[in-house]
Amino acid sequence: MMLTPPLTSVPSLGSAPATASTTAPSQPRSLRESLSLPNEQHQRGALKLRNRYLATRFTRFAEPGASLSNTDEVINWARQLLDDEQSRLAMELLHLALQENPQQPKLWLFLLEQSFLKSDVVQFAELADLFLERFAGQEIVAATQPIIDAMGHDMAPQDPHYAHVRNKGEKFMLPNWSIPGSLDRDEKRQRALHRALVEAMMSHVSR
Amino acid sequence: MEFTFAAGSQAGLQVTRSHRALTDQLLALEQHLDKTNLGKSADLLLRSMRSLEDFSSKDREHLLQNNLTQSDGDTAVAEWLAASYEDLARLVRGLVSPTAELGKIKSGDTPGDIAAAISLALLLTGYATKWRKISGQRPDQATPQRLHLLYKMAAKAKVEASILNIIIERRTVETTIEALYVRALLLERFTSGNLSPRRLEILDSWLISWMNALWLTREPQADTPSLCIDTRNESRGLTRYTPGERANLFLSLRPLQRQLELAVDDFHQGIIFPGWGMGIGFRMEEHVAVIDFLDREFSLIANAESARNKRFAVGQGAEVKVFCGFNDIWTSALATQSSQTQSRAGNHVANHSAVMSGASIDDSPSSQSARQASLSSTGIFNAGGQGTTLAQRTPVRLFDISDSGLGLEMASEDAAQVEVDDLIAMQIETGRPCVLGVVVRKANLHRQQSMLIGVRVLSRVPLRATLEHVTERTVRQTSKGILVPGSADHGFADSVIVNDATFKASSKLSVMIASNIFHIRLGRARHQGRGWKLAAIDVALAL
Repeated sequence: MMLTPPLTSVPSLGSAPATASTTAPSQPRSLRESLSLPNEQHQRGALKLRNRYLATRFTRFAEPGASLSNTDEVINWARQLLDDEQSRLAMELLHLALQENPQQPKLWLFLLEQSFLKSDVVQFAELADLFLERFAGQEIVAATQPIIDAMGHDMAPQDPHYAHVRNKGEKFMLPNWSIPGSLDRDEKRQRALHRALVEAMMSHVSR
Repeated sequence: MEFTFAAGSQAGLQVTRSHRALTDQLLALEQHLDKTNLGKSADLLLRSMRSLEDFSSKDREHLLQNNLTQSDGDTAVAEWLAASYEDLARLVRGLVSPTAELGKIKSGDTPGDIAAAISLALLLTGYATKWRKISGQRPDQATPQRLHLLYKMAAKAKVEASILNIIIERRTVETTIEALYVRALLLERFTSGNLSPRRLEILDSWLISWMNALWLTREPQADTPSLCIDTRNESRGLTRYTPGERANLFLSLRPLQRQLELAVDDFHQGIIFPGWGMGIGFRMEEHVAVIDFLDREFSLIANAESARNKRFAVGQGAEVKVFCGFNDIWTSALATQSSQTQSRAGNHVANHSAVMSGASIDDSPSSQSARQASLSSTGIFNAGGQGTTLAQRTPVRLFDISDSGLGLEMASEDAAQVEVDDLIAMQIETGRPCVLGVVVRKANLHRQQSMLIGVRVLSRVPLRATLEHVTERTVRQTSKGILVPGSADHGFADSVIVNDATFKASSKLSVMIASNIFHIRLGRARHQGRGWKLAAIDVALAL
């Protein structure tokens, strides 16, 4: 290690950090960038490493690398991960699947619904733009755009993007894009069990 | 004076004469330091650190490549490394403190000299912390105090935010004293858990690459979880911030989360982040484990306000009661639980009385679980077998602890009965429920005939349950279960631990929880070990 004298002084506590570190990318990539396959990946070595990463990261799923274009399978896995409180891993899986094959509209809708549930206005807007751009003129857009707009308006009522939304202020049903159609789920019963568990835990702790 | 050696020792490591000679030179270095010339002395210590790194590079590589099979010699070399880094750090701290204390800067010392010396001390203290952990020693409790003092001195000299270029692993890294302080504190926090040496090395290279995200604020940022520091508290480093906590510096979690996302992006592109350092040669599993670890830690920090995630209030070295194996945990560790989670047949089963003519479908204890039960039925591992009296039993001690995991120091003979993926319950705080976890790591502790057992916490408040099989038969069978509530209100993250036979039976089960009766089905296994499965709960009926 070698230390050189200070070059300059950066603003102290409470302000932005010094920039220009050597190795780490300091600026977050845009969603558009992170959802596209980088050129380097097509190089054999990088592709091999990516596949090894996938196989290691998603060990519970058989051959995740090969299944990333199987929309229903990806939705099932992502739902399982969400149920297991591994939200970040679920989002990562969806991003990887879209990198592999962006022509999977259900995965875009899954991500949109999750952004809405997390009230992540910025990500929602970016995803919505990308989705509408990619599938412009297709039936899926005609069927989903009113719902996307209503969700956007619900999160950001002042946003001019959603000024055209009809029935403003009206409640709408969550489309459940992130729940596989084949799944039989009863949220009410499941919540009741959880409440009972919390009550039992509290009682046990307070004894 | 500066010490230099041509090469380090290799192959099945031993502390050699070269190591000892280097230590002697290092200790003699103190007499050669010119305390009236901070810049010159700091430069001498810097060159000495580089000599130490050159000398030990093969040793460090060997230790990190072979961390699962560390010999006594290996551990001794790791201890020597930790001591060498700490000795150097101590020498630098000795130079800095009379200079910068109370903001008095000697006429000959430039702010650059002070910044260089303090940053060197912080860097070295971080290395010492890391190598103490790798060598199997307990964390040094004086570390937070030392780090706080260095940071306060830098702040008084107004150099804490000066930009410095440092060379680590032959790469220039732009940083500040503030970032080096945070890196050392994060290492201090993360070494108190169950990270293996390789993972710790990877984590350190990530922290070094994230220097531009390691910055502090004087106020917690609104709407974002934070860690906090109280520089007046000598025994505390970085802790989760909860409103009302006494603290004067804050580290927002969001920049760290963002850096983690960027690191993950690199892996998606087939790049091993950060692309340098010893970690680049480690298996992919090690890197993924670091991502998992940080995910878990960040998630715990983000949920700091949850009452259920209250910080453990015990320190290292405390004696803990340990129970191992599903049957023993159900029978002994959770024995004090009664009416909250029973089947309708309830207390009879809790007392091990058959509630029907047919026995419970729970299997009789296997030889392995019987052995574990004989070891731990009193809650304290018994290394001496049945004839051993209580006084002769070897207590299990807390080695270190973090929010998501903990380390137990256990006699080697006892530790031999415990395997990775075994269930383990620990009574850490008297009068509080047993903490339930799964063994994730075993490692030798040097010269103590003891082992470190790394545990990942599954639940702070596991609930014992008796599960009744819902069938058409008049006599119903029962099974043991341990309910593990998830943190999400939706309830889909709630789980139950059952033995293999119950899981395989796949029948509808009835359980009473807090006066409510539920019919449940076991979903997929979220985790499993020898003889047990952590199954998702699907509620079929709520009465």
